[in-house]
Amino acid sequence: MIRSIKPKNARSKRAIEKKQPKIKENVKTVLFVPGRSSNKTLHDITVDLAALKKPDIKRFTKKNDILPFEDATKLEFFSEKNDCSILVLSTSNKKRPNNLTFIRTFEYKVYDMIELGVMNNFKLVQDFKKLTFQVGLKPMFTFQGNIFETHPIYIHIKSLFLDMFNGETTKLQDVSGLQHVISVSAVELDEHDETSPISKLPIVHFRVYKLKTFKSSEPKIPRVELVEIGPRLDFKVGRHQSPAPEVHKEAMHSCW
Amino acid sequence: MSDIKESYVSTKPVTVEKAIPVTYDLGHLAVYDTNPIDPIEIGKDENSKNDYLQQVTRDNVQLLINQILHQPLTKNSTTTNTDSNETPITLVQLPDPVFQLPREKPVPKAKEPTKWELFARKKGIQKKGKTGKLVFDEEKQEWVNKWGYKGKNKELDNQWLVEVDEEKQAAGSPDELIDPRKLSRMERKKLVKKNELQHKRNLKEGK
Repeated sequence: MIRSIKPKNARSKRAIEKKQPKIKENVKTVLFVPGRSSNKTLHDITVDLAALKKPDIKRFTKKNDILPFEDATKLEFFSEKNDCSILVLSTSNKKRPNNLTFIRTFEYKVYDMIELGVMNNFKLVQDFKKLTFQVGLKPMFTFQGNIFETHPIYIHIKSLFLDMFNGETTKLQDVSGLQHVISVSAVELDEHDETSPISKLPIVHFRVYKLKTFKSSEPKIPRVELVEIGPRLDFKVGRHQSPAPEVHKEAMHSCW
Repeated sequence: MSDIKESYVSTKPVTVEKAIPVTYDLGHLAVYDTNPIDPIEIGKDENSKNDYLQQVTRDNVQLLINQILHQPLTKNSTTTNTDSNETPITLVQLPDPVFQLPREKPVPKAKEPTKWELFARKKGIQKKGKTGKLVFDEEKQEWVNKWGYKGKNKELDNQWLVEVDEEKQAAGSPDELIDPRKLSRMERKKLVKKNELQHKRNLKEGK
């Protein structure tokens, strides 16, 4: 369905080469797609999440009738056309209100999917003090809770958030560029068996803070204090789909 | 009032005690804390819950910052600045990330060497690069390009007097009345075309 374009000048040739597979990959672009039942809340949350990931985002404005767990071909087409390997679909119905489905692609085909439902106690960026950080900075991450090391769904969530909000992988980092932190926390799973029903899975608390440094007792190391800048989201874990083993192996094939 | 607060904060420590030590993933600027999150605190009202989460996060971020600042530094002068004084910025060297993230596209397969590359490798021929481009012109006593812009291979094109080559333009051959300059240009263009054909062939074989 997608036309293969033969480059007619150097600029189009460069654009095509940007999309080719490389050893060191580009930063992943995220595509935000409103589903058929998307509402204003989801739109605002999408805007906030997109602000964290600027400029590597694309937002669709029109609603699209897509059910990812049944038929993901439309999403694969979007991924290929826009060269985005992470898609966020926003839907809302009675059974699953305020749902965000995060889909990752490998070679423009669905790799894994997870549904995270935003609970009603969310807070948008505009509800916090107006503190912003420079666009395009690399965030710091904290993952709190043993479940992120043991439970496969939460390992998936950790991988997803790291993948999404990570900036460019660099070896050198300017210390003054460390300005904000994304913090993801979850309590321990109650039962010891992993076959617990989905509703018992602990809530994932997503917080974003800005750093404030103060002088401290030690000369070179500052005392760190946090100011919440939002968005503040509590996710309820919904359905998920893991990658097929061969695809997983190919995607994890590292060249470092 | 704010002074007292500032001095109070300045004596606060930068060390953090944790029951289970945290794991650092500095390649991703991440810290993984396996200490259990207190479900009682989470079950409280919104404000207490968020204060608790902020407190736990602050401790972890403090540990992360401590770890980052212990990494080796490199001082780089900002060469992208347009003003004359280059301000040196200190950069921290980060190690490779620990947690592996999936790729978005497969690893590109290595390109097959072309016929010429195999031949050159076998014969030990090295690429000349830009070193072989200049040639000393005895007449003008200066260095000129061998090929390319104002190359020596094109000097025949603009000569006002050209000798007729006896072999190529013999009395009865079809090339007799054609300008020798034109002939030399046609030969040059033929070589270019041949090279493009070989390039196309290489690309096809490479696929």
